[in-house]
Amino acid sequence: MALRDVLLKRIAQAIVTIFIVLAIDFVLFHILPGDPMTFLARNPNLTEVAQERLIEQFGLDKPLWEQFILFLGNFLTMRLGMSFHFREEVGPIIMHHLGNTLILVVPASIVAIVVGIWIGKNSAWRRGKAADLLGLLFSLITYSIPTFWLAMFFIMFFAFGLGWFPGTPGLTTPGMDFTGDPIGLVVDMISHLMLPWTVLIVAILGSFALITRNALLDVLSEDYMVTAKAKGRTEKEQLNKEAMPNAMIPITTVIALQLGFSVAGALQTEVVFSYPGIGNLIWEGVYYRDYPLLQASFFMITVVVVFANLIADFIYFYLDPRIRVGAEFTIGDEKPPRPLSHYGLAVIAIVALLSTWAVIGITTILPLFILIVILKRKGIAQFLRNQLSKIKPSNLLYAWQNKRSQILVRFSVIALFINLIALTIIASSGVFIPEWGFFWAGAFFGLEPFPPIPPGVEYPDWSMTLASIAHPSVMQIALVGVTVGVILSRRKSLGATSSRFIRTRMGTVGTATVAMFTGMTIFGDIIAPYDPEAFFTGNIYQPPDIMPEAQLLILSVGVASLLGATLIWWIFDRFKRPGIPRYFITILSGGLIVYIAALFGAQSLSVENTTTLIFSAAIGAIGGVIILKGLLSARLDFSLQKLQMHLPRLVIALVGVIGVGLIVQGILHAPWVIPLEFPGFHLMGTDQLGRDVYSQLIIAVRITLLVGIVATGMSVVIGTLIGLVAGYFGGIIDSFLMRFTDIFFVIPSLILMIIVAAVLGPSIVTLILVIGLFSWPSTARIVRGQVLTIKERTYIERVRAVGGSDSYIITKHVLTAVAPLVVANTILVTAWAILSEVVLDFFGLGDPAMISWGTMLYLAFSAGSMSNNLWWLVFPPGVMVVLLLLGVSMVGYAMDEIVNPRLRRR
Amino acid sequence: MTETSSPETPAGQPVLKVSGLKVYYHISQGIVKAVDDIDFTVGCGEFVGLSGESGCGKTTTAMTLLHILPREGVVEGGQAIFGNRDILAFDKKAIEDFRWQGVSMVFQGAMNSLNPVHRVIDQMVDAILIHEDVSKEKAKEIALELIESVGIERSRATAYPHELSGGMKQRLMIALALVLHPPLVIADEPTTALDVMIQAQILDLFGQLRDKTSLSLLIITHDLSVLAETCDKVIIMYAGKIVEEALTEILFNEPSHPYTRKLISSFPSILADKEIDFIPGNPPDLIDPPTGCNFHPRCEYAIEKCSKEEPPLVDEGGHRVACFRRHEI
Repeated sequence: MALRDVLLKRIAQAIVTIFIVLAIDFVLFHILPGDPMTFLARNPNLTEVAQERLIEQFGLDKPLWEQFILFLGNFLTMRLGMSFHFREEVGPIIMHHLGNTLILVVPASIVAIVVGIWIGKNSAWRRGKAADLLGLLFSLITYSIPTFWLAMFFIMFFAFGLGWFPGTPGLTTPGMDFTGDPIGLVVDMISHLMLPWTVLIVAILGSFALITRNALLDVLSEDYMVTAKAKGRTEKEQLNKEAMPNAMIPITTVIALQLGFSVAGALQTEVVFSYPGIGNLIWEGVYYRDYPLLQASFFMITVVVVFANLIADFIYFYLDPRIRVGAEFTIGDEKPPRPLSHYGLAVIAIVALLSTWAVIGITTILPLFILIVILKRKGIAQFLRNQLSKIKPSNLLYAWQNKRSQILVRFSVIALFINLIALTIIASSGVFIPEWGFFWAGAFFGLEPFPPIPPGVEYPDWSMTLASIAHPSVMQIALVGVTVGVILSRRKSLGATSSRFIRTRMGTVGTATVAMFTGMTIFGDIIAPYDPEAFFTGNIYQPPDIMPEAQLLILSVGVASLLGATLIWWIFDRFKRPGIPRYFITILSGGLIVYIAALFGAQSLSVENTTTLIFSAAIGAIGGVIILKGLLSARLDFSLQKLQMHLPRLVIALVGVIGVGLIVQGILHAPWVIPLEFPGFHLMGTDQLGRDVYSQLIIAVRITLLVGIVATGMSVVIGTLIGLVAGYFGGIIDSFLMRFTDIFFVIPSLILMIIVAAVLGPSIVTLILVIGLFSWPSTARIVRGQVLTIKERTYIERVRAVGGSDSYIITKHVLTAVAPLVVANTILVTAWAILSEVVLDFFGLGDPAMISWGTMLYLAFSAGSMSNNLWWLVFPPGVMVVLLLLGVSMVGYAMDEIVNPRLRRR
Repeated sequence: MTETSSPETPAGQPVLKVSGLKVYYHISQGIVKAVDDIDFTVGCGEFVGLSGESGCGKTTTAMTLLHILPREGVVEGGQAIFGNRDILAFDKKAIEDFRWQGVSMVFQGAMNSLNPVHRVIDQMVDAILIHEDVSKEKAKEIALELIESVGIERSRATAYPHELSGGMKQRLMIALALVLHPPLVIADEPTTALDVMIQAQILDLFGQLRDKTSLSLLIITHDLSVLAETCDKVIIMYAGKIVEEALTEILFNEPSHPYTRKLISSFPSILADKEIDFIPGNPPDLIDPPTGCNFHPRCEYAIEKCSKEEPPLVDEGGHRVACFRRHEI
């Protein structure tokens, strides 16, 4: 393929992307629930005449297809409608703001790319050493900080605190006239731009560094790097002259694909700085529900991003001689044409995907489903027969004798099937109210009742029976059963992997952090001293109280002994004293768990909370099992002499454990001092309604985790499916699905999320839906790449040769081989989902009735806490977000190091 | 062409003298004794073959000489005297100078050993410029001549690796190894993964080199026929140790170590209608090698002594064998 052809292909692809963006934009405001006329024209802000003109221009009273054609015509000629808020044509407003955004984004991106590549380069080259750890940690931290929070922090610290930069919003100082003074104008602009630039650079730097590190690690394991070394190149030359030119090829592609991410960062920066750019426009659009403005902003931003991507593609082609110099070899034979049914499937996949993002709903999915069933009837019948034969008594007997965990899996799968069948019947019979699906999903997460019984509606008895079979809790139990069964059947290999994982430094720290937040989720009710939703538990905007001396003492003694013990332990390790036997550590950690569980148990007893008491008992039991395990392995090689040898370490460890216990105790008891008195003791002060910030902070983790985990589940399922199908079937299915994925990569997903959430209205289900639906592309890509290498392995050929069907190969061989990578990726997607949730909340799109960190920050921002120096409203939620994200991404990265075949050292 | 006969090597002396070399890999499962106490020499102008099963330490030996072991690999002892200096004791700067100029290497899987984003000629010119103080034009001229001498047209020199066939890449890799006229070239599996016609081209190229230059070559391969074709002397390794070393004719005609005998008899021949033999069992676990002779669990001649004592490598008139029963079997 010659260079020209490739370029033409890319340009064509860009055009397709823009077309799809237009289609999404159209679908959002025409097909989603709601009336396009009210969305786009009928607004009390506009005059009757203007409204009529809009309806006329966009044909809002005409049939849908006619509207679409008119819409395309209008948008392509830059007639973008009328803004409700500004009461002007949207086009010129956007063009004006777009220029400002570019002034912000372009220099910041360039600096961030250069610095990020430098950091990533050094990190990868010194892999596993201190510099790498530092670089990785820095990247992860900057990646974890929500951009808007960083901006708030910078404003409070540098503009209001230190006074280094002007605190006035915007691009120039308002009220100053710069006519005839271009230098003064530039100086003023730069002084206003310095902070936003810095924020944006720091915010996007980390992702570029991580990209570079990954790409370079791939290159460093190539054969030609050994040649370079053997040639006598110095280390610097090996890196800069041999590795980097190769690494730059994937780096440019991925950075190009991540441009949407920079745009998202810019958006948040602009909002906080009140910088007159597109981001601020979108903020206002959301605030005033100015839909034409949102529609047009999304379109324009995406066009810019697509264009930037095209440029990056050209750079990519220039960098890669394999494309630049033509002669692209196709290795292997031409594949024989596939049977027609495959094309049928491809079409189905296309339509299904289109309908997924359009959320068109049951009307299209059902016929598709039936079509798939008809097309694949033989395979389905065989699959069912297989499943049924698994529960034949003889097979069950065999399973009981040999692999007991299998029985659990089988019955759970059957329960799942029956549950799904009942759901299908409900769906096709339409016996419940149309929104039953939402209620079902809500009930799955314990938010709504199921079945929904609106007042005055009677359902027949059979439907109630059906509902109890299709009840989400059946599915919950079945899923837990499958998971537990699978884990039990692989306990050995899972145990080995997890112990390797926990031994990495990042794995330990990450797991500890995540465990802390899990504890907060479970024990939130007994940790939080106040009802987080109770108003006026203290004065409004009450600053944090100083901790009582006794508690402060306990806490500081705890922290000091923990730090001291860690330090001495570390010194012992340095001097290579005889390594401590593993069972010591096992018993100690078991003891620590029991101890903490006991503390929580005592607290639960004192506030009479049964749920948390049960949880503490369960955790205590787990700790007991761990101790027992340690004791059992200790029995094997125990000697008093050894114990004496390790005595100093044992003492240090005990001191450390007691330290942790004291900290837990301090945290548990400190805020409970005099909670009933008014204005009461508030560890972290109160907010504008006199609510206790500390209690809110604790309870908020639930919503964040719920949204993060559920949305991740959705997006990982979608991504894995797409990746599997694309990678496994190849051909046009693959190229179609991957183009589709690329398009989703390019579209700034955060903006899409914001707009969809704004249209659907703020609620937690909306949040989960939009995050889940728009976060899957990275998973799809990773899975596809892995599937491509796995399906070429000989053992897959063998399975096919003995007659394994595609579905058998996919589920039994490909999926199992991909699973570890999917798990590692899932954790990183979780981090992304949590970050998205926080940002959406910050844009005021979270459920206002539910406390989450993002909503807390949104309220703090709206209350003007930056200029009023209400730091206790700003810092705690942000720090929590960063900590949680850091923990999650550390777990993900540590997992990736272990399971990712690319990263295994040579 | 610049004639660089290595000034450090006195005539008649071996180019390379390895003694007591031990290389261990420290991995999480334990210590792998990949190369355990081996001695050998490569004479000036001599072609030496190094053979054995996969994982017996051939490539590790080669990589040690250039200090390009993966980071788990640690040289635990021994010397490698090149000229008058011990390569293994070189510091970072010295080894950077030494690489390619003293010893160069043709890599296993040369397909991926050329950097895909640089032109072939540039990669050769770079190698010259790193080590020699010549102008770029001069370096280019040297490289072009070499490219021609390995049988590739000058016009192809400006190609990128992806534009060349496997055989061409392998020949260019050899040209790259020769570009500084090092006294010793190590060829690690130079013909593996190539088809027979290209193998023949490569072997022919080695033959020409042997006739025209004073180059010493250490060929590492498990393909005994390549060794029979090209080498003066063959060293057989098993589980990190040398088990036999002899002149090529002697080794192939009267192999003395049971392992060598098995190795030769398990090699198929198109001419002779012989039974293909195989060696029962698997190579030993190098983390926990068997006591005594490493080969005794698989050896059909093993006696009790073999499982207790390690047989020394006894030199009898240049034919070195590590077996207690070399004369009995």
